[in-house]
Amino acid sequence: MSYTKSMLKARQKFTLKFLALYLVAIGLLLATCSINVKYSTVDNQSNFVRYFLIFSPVIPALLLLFLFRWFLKSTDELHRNIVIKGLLWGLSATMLIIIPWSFLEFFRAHMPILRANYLLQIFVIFYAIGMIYGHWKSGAYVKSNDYDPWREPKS
Amino acid sequence: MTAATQHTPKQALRRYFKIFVPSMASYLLLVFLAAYLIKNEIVGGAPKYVLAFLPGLAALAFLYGWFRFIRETDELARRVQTEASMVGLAVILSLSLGWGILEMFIETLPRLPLFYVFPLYFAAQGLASWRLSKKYGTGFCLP
Repeated sequence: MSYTKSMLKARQKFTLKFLALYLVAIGLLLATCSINVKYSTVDNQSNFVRYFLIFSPVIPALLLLFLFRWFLKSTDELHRNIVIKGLLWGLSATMLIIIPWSFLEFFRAHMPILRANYLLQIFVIFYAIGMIYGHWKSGAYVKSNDYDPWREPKS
Repeated sequence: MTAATQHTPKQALRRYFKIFVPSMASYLLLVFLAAYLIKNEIVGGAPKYVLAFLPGLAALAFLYGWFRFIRETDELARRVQTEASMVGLAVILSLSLGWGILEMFIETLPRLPLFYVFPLYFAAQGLASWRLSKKYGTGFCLP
């Protein structure tokens, strides 16, 4: 895929904006998890506090959701398809690992315990693999020699 | 996704159901069969692990049907399915993350069997799909 200079500049601006917002959302997610860890060790908690802690990561996760929705709306068809494929890759690989594992764990087949919070890590790893594969397969990467700020784009 | 053969939304939905019904039926059958055989220790050793893997494969067949539907249908239905799947992911990932962290520190908290995570995902995704179908007026939503 070839980009003109103005297309590439707009794309770079958009990517930077998305990455900045993405880092803020991830930071918020990590902050709520840290608060979760700190206060969950306190004894004699009321049920309200306990369940509030359980549900607290939902807020930054929702922020991430809106961010992805905005990304999908603003980006072009090719990149949108790559993101969707990445999500689907992550989902199916996570499912293929979690279902048999939890099944064996449930019936006490002497499997090591897989904690619920590992689900996110497993998903993220396979989502990243799906994204890399999608970019590689569709050739949707930007070659550095496509963009030369000193040269006008070819008409 | 661009290489897929284009179908009308109705045709794509019919093709989706052709995979959805047998894969869900075999998933249910395999879950109960595996539960019975593993719980009563009728099978052991390596076959037990193979047996536990089979419901996952049936679920994968269902996912394939769903991906194919997303690929083959029109842009609007694709958008509904993508957004619904993101809602489902947000629900399960945030809940499992929150619960998992608390599990590590509060011993009295009941363990969340991960087995229930995917039914929860499909429930959230189904609800979101229904809501978004109404919002965008696509006229149908997937189970």
